Amino acid sequence: MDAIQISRSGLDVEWRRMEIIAQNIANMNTSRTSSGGSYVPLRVVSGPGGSFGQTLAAQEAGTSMQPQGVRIYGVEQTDRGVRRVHEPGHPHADANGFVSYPNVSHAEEMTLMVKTARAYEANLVAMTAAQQIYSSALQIGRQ
Amino acid sequence: MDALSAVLITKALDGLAMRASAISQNIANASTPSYAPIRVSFEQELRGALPKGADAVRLVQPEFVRMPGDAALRLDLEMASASETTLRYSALVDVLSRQMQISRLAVTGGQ
Repeated sequence: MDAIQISRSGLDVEWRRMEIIAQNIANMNTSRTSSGGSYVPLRVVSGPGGSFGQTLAAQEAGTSMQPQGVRIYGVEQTDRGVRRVHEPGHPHADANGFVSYPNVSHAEEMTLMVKTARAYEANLVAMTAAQQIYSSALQIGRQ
Repeated sequence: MDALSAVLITKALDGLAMRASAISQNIANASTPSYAPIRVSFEQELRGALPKGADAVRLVQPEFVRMPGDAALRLDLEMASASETTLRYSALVDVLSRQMQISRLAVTGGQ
């Protein structure tokens, strides 16, 4: 993969991560979803691209490792439990008058959001650097 | 233009382009937990091959190397390397163009 494609994969992953953060924050007061329970906060799990098999084959063949960018391994539900609030009048309240809200950590989501935004910018800068390299390569042999 | 410096510059350009890929890879994986950054180092090999002539320089192959141990990824240092790589690439392209200009001058006889 060349540098621009790698940065592109990074931009894609960070964008998806941002979408999931937005989804978590937007649903921090969702007490009922189509599956019946309260909303469960999600996390994007990402890591280097390329499969284990490819890496192993390259190792065995003795060829140089090639960067494969980054990819999303999956969007996983977090196991944070629920936030129970006593609201007897609420339509979703249980027999004891408690409503289960998702336990979305506001601080954690915000921190991750800033980190994701920075990572996105960094990918953009790397992409610009690669573009400069390509455009200066076009200057070779020019008068 | 002597053959050696042309080969040397193109090899260095190859190495720098690969380094740009490695930096992109590291930055793309900035959010990967316990990610080991990759590097490209070719300068030492190139310097070693230089006294042996153009053929030895031609055989130098820049490679991606994964940093061993717990060398954590520093995003700021990666950015600094990205801009350094770009600048060095343009500088080498400039040198190559100047050498070509000299050859062109010789071919046209200064006309």
